[in-house]
Amino acid sequence: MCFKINFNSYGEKAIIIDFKNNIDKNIYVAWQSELCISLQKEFHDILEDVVFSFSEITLFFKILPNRVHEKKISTWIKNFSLTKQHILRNLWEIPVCFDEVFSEDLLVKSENNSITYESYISEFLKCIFEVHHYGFLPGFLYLSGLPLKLHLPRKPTPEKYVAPGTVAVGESYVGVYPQKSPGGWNRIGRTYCSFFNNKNNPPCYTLPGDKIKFISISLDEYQSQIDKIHQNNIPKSSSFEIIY
Amino acid sequence: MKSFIKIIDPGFHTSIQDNGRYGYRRLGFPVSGPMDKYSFTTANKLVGNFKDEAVLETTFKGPKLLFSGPCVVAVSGAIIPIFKNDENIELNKPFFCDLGDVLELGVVENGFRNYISFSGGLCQNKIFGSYSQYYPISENGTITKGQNIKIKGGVTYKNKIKNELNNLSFDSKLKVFEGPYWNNLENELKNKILNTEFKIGSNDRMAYRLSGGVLENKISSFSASVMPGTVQLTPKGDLIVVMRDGQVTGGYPRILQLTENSQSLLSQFRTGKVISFEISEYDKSHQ
Repeated sequence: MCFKINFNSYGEKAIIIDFKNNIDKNIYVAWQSELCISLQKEFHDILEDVVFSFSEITLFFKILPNRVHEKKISTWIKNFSLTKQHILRNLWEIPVCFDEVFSEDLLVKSENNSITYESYISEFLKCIFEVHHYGFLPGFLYLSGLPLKLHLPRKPTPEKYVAPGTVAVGESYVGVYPQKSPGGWNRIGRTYCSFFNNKNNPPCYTLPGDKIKFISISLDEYQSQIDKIHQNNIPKSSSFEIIY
Repeated sequence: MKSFIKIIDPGFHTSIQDNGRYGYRRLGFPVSGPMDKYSFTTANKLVGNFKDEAVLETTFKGPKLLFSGPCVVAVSGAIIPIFKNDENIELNKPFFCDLGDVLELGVVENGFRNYISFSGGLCQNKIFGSYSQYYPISENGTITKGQNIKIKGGVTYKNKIKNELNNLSFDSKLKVFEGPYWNNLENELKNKILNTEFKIGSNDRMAYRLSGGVLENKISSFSASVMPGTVQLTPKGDLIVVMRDGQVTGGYPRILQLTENSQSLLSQFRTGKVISFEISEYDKSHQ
């Protein structure tokens, strides 16, 4: 993998590396996340955080960065990109209840839409999503891979309360709410699996580049499992390897 | 033996804050830490803490605390009445508290937030590398009535206050750097932003909303990293300033970035206050 590295200042102590013109954002998610973790480890004396989003990596410095730091980091990234990376990731099966009590926004949307409620869910269950990145809230997953016909526009005014475990669609992304919070995405289902636990380290078990498949469960099954949510309910998974 | 403080009354919104939680932004953790870093650092220096130790950050109305042992204490930030038992205490001046002493802060007279520092710092429930309270990473988002909070103690202090440890002056002109999106804006919009007086709307530790000019726009932006002090422009034309407990990514264009001192200043302002922006150049001298 080879690309141009452009550094842009963001405030005094952050630098943005712009990837917009370099890489296909959907293909290299796992690679980008490994790059960020490795960068943070390698330069822990000067970097306090490394974050990637859709088309850029942001380096947060502990100190005021200078040209020497930029040069060092840029050389290191070039070497990383030329080294073959074997990356292990998981495919997770997440049980979701699509009962109408949990999918009220989908009911409303399907009334004014070409796609019916039933066919939306059946198409949704055929998808394999990719964990893109965390954002918005601790452990809030942005999942990519939603086909165009299943995109739902964000609500003009966010709901004041969205329940933890809510599976929701915002434009082209699917998200899972880790905690109760306000939210403007469309609620289509509910899972009893928690993607964030502050008692665990790491507190989130999924990594960018992981795959997620949703499995439909009944309301009865959801209710029988929901009480176990505090017992570290980690879903089923199988691992796979990606080589860059 | 470690001493502790007992919370008799938590005040309006009081939380434990150290310098913040770093290394976890990629999991969606906000950095947390003090809203007014300037006053936070001042408060720590006053009690002889060489590093940025954990303090209490109070908002609007301060707490009432009972001490179980000896400790040097200082209060920085907003102008606020401070009482140790019945004795009036000055802002930005360290004082001694011992078993049975009660410290009480009133309601702010000018400013919004205060920092109460303790020699050695607070040491209650460090999680993911930080004492800063942020729910649901920590069990609670604020201190609670009846809670006991441990103090490290054991630091001697010199009662010498330097002149530079005075408050920031509450100037309503906030210094900013150009944000990543700034140069994509049309000149007309740039000028409008720099010549508009914005009114502070709803605000908390996550964000400050500002409204003012007619800045309606049709910019579509992608979700990208934001950090405390980032000014985002919404399609309706309001501004959202990300604060300490704010999201790590945001979907609106990042037009400006507040300097660290401007972030401290903004966090001393509340709803209704009018502010404006002034562009600062990056200091390239260190390069």
